[in-house]
Amino acid sequence: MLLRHTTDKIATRSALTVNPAKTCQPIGAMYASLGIHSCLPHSHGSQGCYAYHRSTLTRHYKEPVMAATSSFTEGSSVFGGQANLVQAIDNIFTVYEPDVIAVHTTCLSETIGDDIPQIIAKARDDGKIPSDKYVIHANTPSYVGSHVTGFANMTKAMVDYFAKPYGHKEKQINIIPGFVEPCDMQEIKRITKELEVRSIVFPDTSNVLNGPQTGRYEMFPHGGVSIEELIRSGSSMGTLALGHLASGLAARAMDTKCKVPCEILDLPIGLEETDIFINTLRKIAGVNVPDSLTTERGQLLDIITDMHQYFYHKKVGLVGDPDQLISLTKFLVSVDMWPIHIVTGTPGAKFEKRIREITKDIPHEVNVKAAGDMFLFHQWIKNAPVDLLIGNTYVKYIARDEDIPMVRFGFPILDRVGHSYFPTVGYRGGMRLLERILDALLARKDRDASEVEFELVM
Amino acid sequence: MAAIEILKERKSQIYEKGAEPFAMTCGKHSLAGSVSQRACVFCGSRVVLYPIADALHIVHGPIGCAAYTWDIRGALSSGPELHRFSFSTDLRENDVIFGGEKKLYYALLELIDAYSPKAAFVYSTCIVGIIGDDVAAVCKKVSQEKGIPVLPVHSEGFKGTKKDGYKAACSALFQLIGQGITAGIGKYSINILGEFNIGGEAWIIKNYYERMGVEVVSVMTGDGRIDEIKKSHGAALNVVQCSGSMTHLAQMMKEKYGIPFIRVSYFGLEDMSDALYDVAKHFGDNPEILERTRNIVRDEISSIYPKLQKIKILLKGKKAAIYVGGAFKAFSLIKALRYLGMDVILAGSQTGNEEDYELLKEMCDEGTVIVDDANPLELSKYVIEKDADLIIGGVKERPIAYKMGIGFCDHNHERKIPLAGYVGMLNFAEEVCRSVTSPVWKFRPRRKRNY
Amino acid sequence: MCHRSINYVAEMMEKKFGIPWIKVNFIGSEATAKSLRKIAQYYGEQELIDKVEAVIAEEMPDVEKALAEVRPRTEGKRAMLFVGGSRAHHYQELFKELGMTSVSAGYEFAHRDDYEGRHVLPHLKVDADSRNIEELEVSADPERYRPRKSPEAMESLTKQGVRFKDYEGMMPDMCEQTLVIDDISQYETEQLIDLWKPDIFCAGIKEKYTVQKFGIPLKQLHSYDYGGPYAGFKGAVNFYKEIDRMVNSKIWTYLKAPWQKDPELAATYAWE
Repeated sequence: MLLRHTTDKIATRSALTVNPAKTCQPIGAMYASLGIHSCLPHSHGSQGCYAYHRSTLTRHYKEPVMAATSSFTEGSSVFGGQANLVQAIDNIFTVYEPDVIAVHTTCLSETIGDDIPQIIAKARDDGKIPSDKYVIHANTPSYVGSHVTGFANMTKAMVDYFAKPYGHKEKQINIIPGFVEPCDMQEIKRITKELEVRSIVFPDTSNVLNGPQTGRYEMFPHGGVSIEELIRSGSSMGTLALGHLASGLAARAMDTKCKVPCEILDLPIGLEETDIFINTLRKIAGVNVPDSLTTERGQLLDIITDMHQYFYHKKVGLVGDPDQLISLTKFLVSVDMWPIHIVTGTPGAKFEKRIREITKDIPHEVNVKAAGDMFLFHQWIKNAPVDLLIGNTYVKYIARDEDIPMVRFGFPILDRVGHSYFPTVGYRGGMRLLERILDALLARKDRDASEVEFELVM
Repeated sequence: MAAIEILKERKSQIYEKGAEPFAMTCGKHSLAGSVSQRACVFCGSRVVLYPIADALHIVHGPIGCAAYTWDIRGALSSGPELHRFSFSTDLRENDVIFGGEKKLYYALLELIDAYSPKAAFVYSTCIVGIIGDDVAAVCKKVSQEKGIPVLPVHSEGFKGTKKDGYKAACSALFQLIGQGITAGIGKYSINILGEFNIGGEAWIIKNYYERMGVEVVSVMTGDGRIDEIKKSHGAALNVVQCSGSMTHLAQMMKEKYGIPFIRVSYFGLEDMSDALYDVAKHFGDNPEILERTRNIVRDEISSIYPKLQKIKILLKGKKAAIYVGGAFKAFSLIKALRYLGMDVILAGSQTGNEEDYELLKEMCDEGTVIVDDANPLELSKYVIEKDADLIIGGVKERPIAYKMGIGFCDHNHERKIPLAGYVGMLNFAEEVCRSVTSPVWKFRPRRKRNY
Repeated sequence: MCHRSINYVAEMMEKKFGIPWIKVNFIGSEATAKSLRKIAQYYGEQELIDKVEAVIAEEMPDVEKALAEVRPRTEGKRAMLFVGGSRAHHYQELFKELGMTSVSAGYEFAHRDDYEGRHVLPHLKVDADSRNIEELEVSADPERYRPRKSPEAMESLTKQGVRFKDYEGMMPDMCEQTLVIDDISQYETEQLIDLWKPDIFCAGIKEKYTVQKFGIPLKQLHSYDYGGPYAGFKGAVNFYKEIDRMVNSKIWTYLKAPWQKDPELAATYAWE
C-alpha cells in the first residue's frame, strides 16, 4: 500500500497539488527543440531545470538528451541573465557547433523579466552568432500552463523564426504532429507518404530520440526537421495541425505570418480520428487513399469486432495530456468502453467540455478534471472502481494499490521500453493500443479466474 | 592532451595525469552553455532530505520541481511512505504576481491535518527567492499553530551549486537536532550520516554496526525518522559517508555538541572494512567491539571471496571511466575497480573540491584523465580515445555509454541493488562483469575487438 | 433437453427400466417455466407444483426487468441460427422473447424428426446412409424393469396434456416465409447474408470470422464465445444482454472508410 496515505474522502483543495499529472513548460519546449535537426535546446535559468528535464527525457526515451543552460547564479538573478546567455551562445557555437540554439525561459528568468530577443540581438551584434547559425526562443514560464504549453510555444517559435512567406505556393503540406512520441511522428510521415502527399513535418523527433545503437555517440543525430524545410514551410499550401493544444498555436501563427491556411484536428489516435486525419489529407491534397491504408484500417476494425466482447462496458480511468486524452477517450468510447475518470494536470476549461461531450452517452457518472492531479484521480477510483487504468508510469502506484490492470500511455514512461518505437497514432497505432488493452484485461482474467473458470481459448 | 576542442575556460577543470602541473579549478559554478551534467541547489537539498519517511516534503514553486523529483530515488523506508508522495504549491501566474505565502500556509495546514507528519520540510525553489515570499515566517507560524517542526529549506536553484543544496538541507536538519530526549542512549553509539538507503544500503550498514555492539541512534537520512534525528545529538560519534553532502552537518554537530566525526565509505572491501574498524577503534576502550568487528569482517569477506576471484579473472585489464556526483565516491570506486583488476582511465565528479582532486590525482595512474563538471562531449571523446570498457555514472550517462557500445554501471540513485557493504561489493562486481562482458558488445559497429 | 443426442438413451432407459421420458427445454425463460411445470405435473404432487410456481415467481421479475430494458433495442431485429442438434431450435425462444425474428435456421447434423417432429419417425426408412448410429436391440430387464407409473396414470397424464416421448421439431415453431436449411454451405451462407442481412448470426468458431467479415456479429452457440450460461432464467438474462451488446454496438457502423463513402475528389489542393 504505497499510497496508503490516500483517503477516499474527497475534499476540495485550494492551495495544493498532490501527485501531479503534469509538469512544467520548459521540458515540453526542450522536447520540441530536439525535433529540429542539429539544434541544441537551451534552458535560460538555473542549472537544475535543465538537469531535471534532461534526466526525465532520458529516463523516458533511454537516449542521450542534449541541452545547455545559462547556469544562473545569485548575481544573474539580480542583474539579469544577459551575460550568461550571451556567454552560453558563444560557448555553444564554439564547442558544440549546432545549427540552431533554441532558447526557452524558466520561471526564474521570466520573473526577473529577461528580454530574450534583445539578448539574442546583442549576441548577434557582438558577433557571437556565426552568420549561418540561428538562435530562436520561446517564452515558457513554468507557472503558466504545463509541459504541453511549452511544446506549443516552442513549435510556434519555429514558425516565428523560420517560416518565410514566399509569393508562390508549393505543392506541399505542413504537418504539425503534436506532442507525440518520435515513432508517432514517423508514422504520421509514413501515412503521408503512402498518400503521396509531400509534407514538412515539424517538430520531428524521429531518429533523434529513438535512434539506433551505432557504436558512436553523436550529439546531433541525423533526425529532425531541417532549417531549410522550416523556412520553406511558409510556402506550403496549408497546414494540418494535430492536437489543438500542442499544435494549434503554431498552425495559427503560420496562417497569420505566411497566409498558409490551417486545419486543426484531434490527434489521430483510434479509428475515427485516423479516418478524419487521412480523409482530410486526401481532400485537401486531392489524392486517392491507397489500398494499403484501407487494409490497415480494416485490420484495426477487425480487432475491434473480433474482441468487442472484452471491451464492452469496461470502465476505464485515464490520466494524461489533453490532446491525447480527447482522442483516446473517443477511441475507447467507439469500442464501447466506458472511460469514467479522466484527469489531466494541464489547465483549460475546453478540455472538460470536450470530454463531457464525448462521454455524454455513457450511462454512468463520468468524472473529468483539467488542472487535476493523481491524488484526486485515485480518490475517484476508490469511490468508483474501474477495470483498467491508462496513464504514465506514476499511475502504477494506483494500479498496484487498487489491484487494477494498467496500460502505460503518455509521458513520462520511466519503467518500460517500446513507447518510442511503436506508434499509437494511425490504424497501426490503434491496433497496438487495443492489443495492449486486451493483454492487460485478459491477463487479469487469466490471473483471477478460478481453476474451474480458467479457459484455454478466450 | 587529447585533441578535443574544449572551452578555454574549462581547461583548468580537465587534467590528464602526467601532464602540466595540477591545480583543479572546481567548486565553481558551471560555465553557461557548457552542457554540464550537474544539477542545482534544490536538487541537492531534495536528495538529502527526501528519505526521511515520516516527514512532509512540500515543494514551494511551480509544478516542475515537484514533478521531476517525485519518487525518482529508490530510498527505501521500513515504515511510513509519506516521502513518496509529491506535494507542491503548484504556483501559478497570479501567485507569482501576488505572492505565494498564503497558498503555502493553507497547503501546510491542509497537509498537516490530513497526514499528521512528524515534521514538515518546505523547499524554496528559484522563483520563491525572486518573488520574495517569507517562507521562514510562514513555517514559523504553521509550526506554532500545529505544534510540529516546520522547516524552511533555502534551496533556490540559482543560489549556488548542488553542494549548497546539501548545506541548506544540513541546516534544516540541524534545526531538528537537539529537540529530542537523549536519555537511554549508550556510550557506544553513532549516527550514520550521508547514507540514503538506496536499495536498502542503510539497513546493511546498520546491521554491521549493530552486530559490532554499536548503537545506531539515527541514520541521516536513509529510512530516516524525525524522532531519531531529534535525539541524534546524544550519539557518541558521527560516521560520515558521502563527504559532499553531510560533512557540513557533522561539523556543526561537532561545534555545538562536541560530537567527533570520522569520514568513511561503505564501498569496496577495503573501505567498508575501514569504516567498521575506524568505529571500533574509536570505541577502543571496549576490546569486545574490536573483536566482534574482526569476526564480522572475516566472515563477510570469506563469504564473497570465492565469487569475487572468479569475476576478477574476467575483468582483468578492462578499462573504466568514472563520472559520479561526489568525489569521495570516486575514491572508493577507484579502489574497488583496482581490486577487480580494472584500470581507471577517467575519473571525474560533479561536486569535488580542491582537496578531493588532489587526492584523486595521487590515487590515479599516469595518463588518467581527471575532470570536474564534465560535459557529454568531453566524456565521450575521452572514453573513446582511452578505449574504455565501462562507464560508471548516473541517468544521463547511461544512454551515452550504450550508444558508444560500452558497458555501464549506475552508481547513482537510480539503481535498485545495494552496492554498499560486502554484499554490495559482490553486487557491484557482478553488475560490472555482466555489463563489460556482455556478448551484445560483439555487435557494436564501432570497435572490432575480439572478446 | 437435446433431442438429437440423448433421445436414444431415453428410449432405451424406458424400454429396459421403465423410466418414461419427456422432452424439456431450458433455453428461454418461458420455455424454462413451461418445462418446470411439466415436470411438476408429471409427479402431480401439490407441494412440488407450488414450489415450482414459487421459483418461477421469484425468478421472473429479474427476467422481465432485463427484457424491459433490452427489448426496445432488439425488437424487430433478425437472427439466423445454424448450429448443432437442438440449439438452432431452442435459441429461437430467446430471440422471440427479445422480439426478434429468426429468419433462417438449420442444424449441422440433425435428422428429419429434429426438423419435423417425431411423428415422422414411423415413416422413415433406415438405409446405410441414414443410419449413423448402431441400432441397439433393448428389451425389458427381467429384474430391474419397473414401470414408474401405471398405464392408467400415464393415460390420465396424457389426457391432461403431458406428452411423453414427443418432440414436435423446429419447423412448427418458425414463422411463415422463413427458411430452414440443413447442413448449410459457405456459399449458401454468403447468399443468405446478402439476401436477408440479418442483425445477428449464430453458429460456431469456423463461421465466426467469415460472417463477421460481412459486418454481421456472430454469436457462437457452441462455445458461447466464452460467455454464458444461457440456460434457465438467469441464463436468459445473460443472453438478452449479450445480444443487446452484439446487435446494438456502433462498431458495425465503421465498416466503410470515409473515402469509400464519398470517393469524389477534386484532384487538386483544396487550398489552391
